[in-house]
Amino acid sequence: MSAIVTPERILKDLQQLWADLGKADEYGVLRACSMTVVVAADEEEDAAGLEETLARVMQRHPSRAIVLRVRDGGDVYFESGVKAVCWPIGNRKQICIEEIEIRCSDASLPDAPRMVLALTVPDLPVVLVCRSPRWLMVPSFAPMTALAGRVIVDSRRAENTLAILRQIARSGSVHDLAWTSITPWRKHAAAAFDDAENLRCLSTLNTVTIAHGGDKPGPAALYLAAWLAAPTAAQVRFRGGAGCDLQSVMLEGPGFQLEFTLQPPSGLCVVRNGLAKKEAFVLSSDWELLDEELAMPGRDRVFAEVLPKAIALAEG
Amino acid sequence: MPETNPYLDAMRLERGVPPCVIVIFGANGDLTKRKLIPALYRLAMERRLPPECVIYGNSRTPITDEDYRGKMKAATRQFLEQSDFDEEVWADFERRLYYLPGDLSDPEFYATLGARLKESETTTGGNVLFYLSTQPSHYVPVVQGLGAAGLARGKGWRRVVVEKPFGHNLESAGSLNRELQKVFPEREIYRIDHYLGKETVQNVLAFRFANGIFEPLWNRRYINHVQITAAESIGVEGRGEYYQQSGALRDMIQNHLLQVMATIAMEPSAVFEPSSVRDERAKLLRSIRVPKSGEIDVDTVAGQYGPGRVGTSDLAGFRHEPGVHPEARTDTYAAATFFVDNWRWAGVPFYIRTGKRLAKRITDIAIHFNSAPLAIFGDGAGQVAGPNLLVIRIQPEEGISLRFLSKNPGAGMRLRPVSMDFQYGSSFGVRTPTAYETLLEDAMAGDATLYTRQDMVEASWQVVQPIADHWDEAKYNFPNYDAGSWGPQASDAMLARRGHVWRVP
Ligand SMILES: NC(=O)c1ccc[n+]([C@@H]2O[C@H](COP(=O)([O-])OP(=O)(O)OC[C@H]3O[C@@H](n4cnc5c(N)ncnc54)[C@H](OP(=O)(O)O)[C@@H]3O)[C@@H](O)[C@H]2O)c1
Repeated sequence: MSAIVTPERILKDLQQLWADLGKADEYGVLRACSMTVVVAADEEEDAAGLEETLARVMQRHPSRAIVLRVRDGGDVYFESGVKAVCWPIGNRKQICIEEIEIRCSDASLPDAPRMVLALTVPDLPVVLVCRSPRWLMVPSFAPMTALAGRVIVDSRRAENTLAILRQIARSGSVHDLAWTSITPWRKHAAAAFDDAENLRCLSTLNTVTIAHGGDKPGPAALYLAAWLAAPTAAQVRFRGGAGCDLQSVMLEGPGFQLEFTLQPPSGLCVVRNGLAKKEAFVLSSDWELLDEELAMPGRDRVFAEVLPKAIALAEG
Repeated sequence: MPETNPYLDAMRLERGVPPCVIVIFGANGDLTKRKLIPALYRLAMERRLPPECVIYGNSRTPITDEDYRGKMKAATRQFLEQSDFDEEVWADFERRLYYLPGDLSDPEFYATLGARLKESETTTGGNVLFYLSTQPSHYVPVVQGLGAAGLARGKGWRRVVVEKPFGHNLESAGSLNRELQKVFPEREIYRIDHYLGKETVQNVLAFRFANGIFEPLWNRRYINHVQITAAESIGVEGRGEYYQQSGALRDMIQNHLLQVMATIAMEPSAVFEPSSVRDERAKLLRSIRVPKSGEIDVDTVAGQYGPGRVGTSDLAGFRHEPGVHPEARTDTYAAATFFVDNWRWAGVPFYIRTGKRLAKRITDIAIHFNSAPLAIFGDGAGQVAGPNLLVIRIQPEEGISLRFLSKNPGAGMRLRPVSMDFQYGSSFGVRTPTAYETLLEDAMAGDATLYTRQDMVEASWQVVQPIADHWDEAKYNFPNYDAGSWGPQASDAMLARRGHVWRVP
């Protein structure tokens, strides 16, 4: 970690790192970069887990990662360090991650956006990943969210579902990993309506029931219910209980019943009018969620439409 | 009732491949074991092949399902590209793999096949993909057999995938199309050109039409000429008998390389939809000038390799390869200069070369831009290094590189070329699917964007036929290049006439 922390100094360290890597390799190194990913994390967050997630994601999205680790406290301080990870290609190496780690305190947070801005890769998109949704609520962090073209949070980590969903709706550029997490459910539900018979019954659908863990539905259950009900006139019901976030979905209408039930670890039982079949079902891991979100080319129109409906359901 | 599924979300949800039966004719053959089964296995591994899908392979050799599975397992292990073999995935996959022995000229066989298709109807909805991986002479008998047995129509969709060659000349291509269309409607005929399934060939479209900076330069004002090279270092590898019937012009240029040229030169389509992309490609193929007889000698070159030495290995000449006639007149090398008669490309030569036993294995497209209008740095500077060059590499290392001039560090204004490189696969750290994975999945999903259409096949034959006829008549002094070289000298002379030279890729 460097003692004096200025953007110039950090960039110089990075430059030196490339030069050293280049010298160490007979053929030199190539560098690929498609964006800057700024990750805001609390200091106490599992460092190894975060590193692992970044390493896997960056292999698919070669980027400059700026990891901001923030510690509670009032003393103003910054520390920084740089590293790069290469992959072999043929007989050359390619830099796919260049990582800048900045440690700072809550008190120095207001100075962080200017520092980060100077460290981003010019002319490429900036994505801000808030490991904790609390960052969205911290006023001194607002300039940071403003500099990113896209902000990614996971509302499932928030204590107050309604508050975080409203905050996401206000910001306009926030993508939610809770929405990303229901992609496998959406995939199976959408595939069911490729069937002409099921499609015919859709207009008569009158109830969507979601069984979820806990007393109140979390963001994932709200999103899924809002998305499923959107093209229909169906009522939404939630059934709380023990166990994981999302457990089953039931779609009902006169003479029509379609149920999807999770069968851990990797199955989904689909029952249509009493006829059951099992399908493979894989929930995405932490890095896969981030990977999916980073691969999204732009604004997610479907999410934008579903979000207000999910908020309305949360408001009851 | 909604007409379309309102839950579809192309941006995030993968396109669904419906359950279906895949029937492979020629199941004991080379293509099936090298490409088709490994591709289907990979799709299964990535859960892109619905679990209800069943595969029936047909050939004459009387073996059991168990024997066939064992054979395909060994082949998949051997030919799987950029991927590890997983025993568990295979065990699950092979349970859906069956072998149906029978002669494809025997009507009894189609009755048996029909019964098997009926059995799986409940789980697959009656959808069937017939894949013709047999010798081309079998295409029509198989399709007629399917038609006569009533298997070309059914409860679900019925599609047929046809491997190249689509005829051996213009006339036979037309007649093959007519026979196919007697049984299957054109929209259910999928003519495979595996070059179009390659990621980098698809990336050409993204590169051209998603980047605003290149398209304005993509015309006769800025582009001097284009070189397309598809070189193989190997010989005919035991396929000499088949190869001597076709040759490089028919085997590579008529289909793959003219398709690649069309992708490079076509106009942008208004939308990225199968019919509009294919319309533009077809339009371009129809604009390629058909060479007149007087032009063929100067604008095309046929070649055949003789013996040669590479490193410490002695390589046999084509006429000494197993199964090849000792006086075979086959072209193992073909080069041609094509022109596109439209406003964008008038006067720009497109040089295409392909051959076996060339110096190395490489397929790429090089766009040679015009030199800067004024050599302000003196003649030496720009001329030595040559003008800007954009190279799109299709294999082996897929990528794009741009060559431009830069000042040498230090005193004086000495320029040197530098290359800006983008390596496609490694930059994204993701395994790129093989062409057969992409194309098989597309066919099951009913997406024909990357397949060729009857009018494209006929348009490319229109261009190639006069050359093929001329070459058939001519008495070339074969062999005319050494194995391991870059081809006949006449090919260099072909470019020299317009002041150009072949790149050494
Ligand atoms: N090989 C490649 O890499 C490649 C590349 C591009 C395109 N292609 C095209 O793909 C097609 C297949 O090529 P290939 O190289 O795989 O051919 P192949 O090795 O000759 O395989 C054809 C198979 O068909 C079976 N067969 C022959 N006569 C039959 C009959 N009367 N009834 C039933 N089965 C019969 C044979 O197996 P049995 O002896 O057991 O009957 C044979 O193994 C060709 O059109 C070729 O042009 C091939």
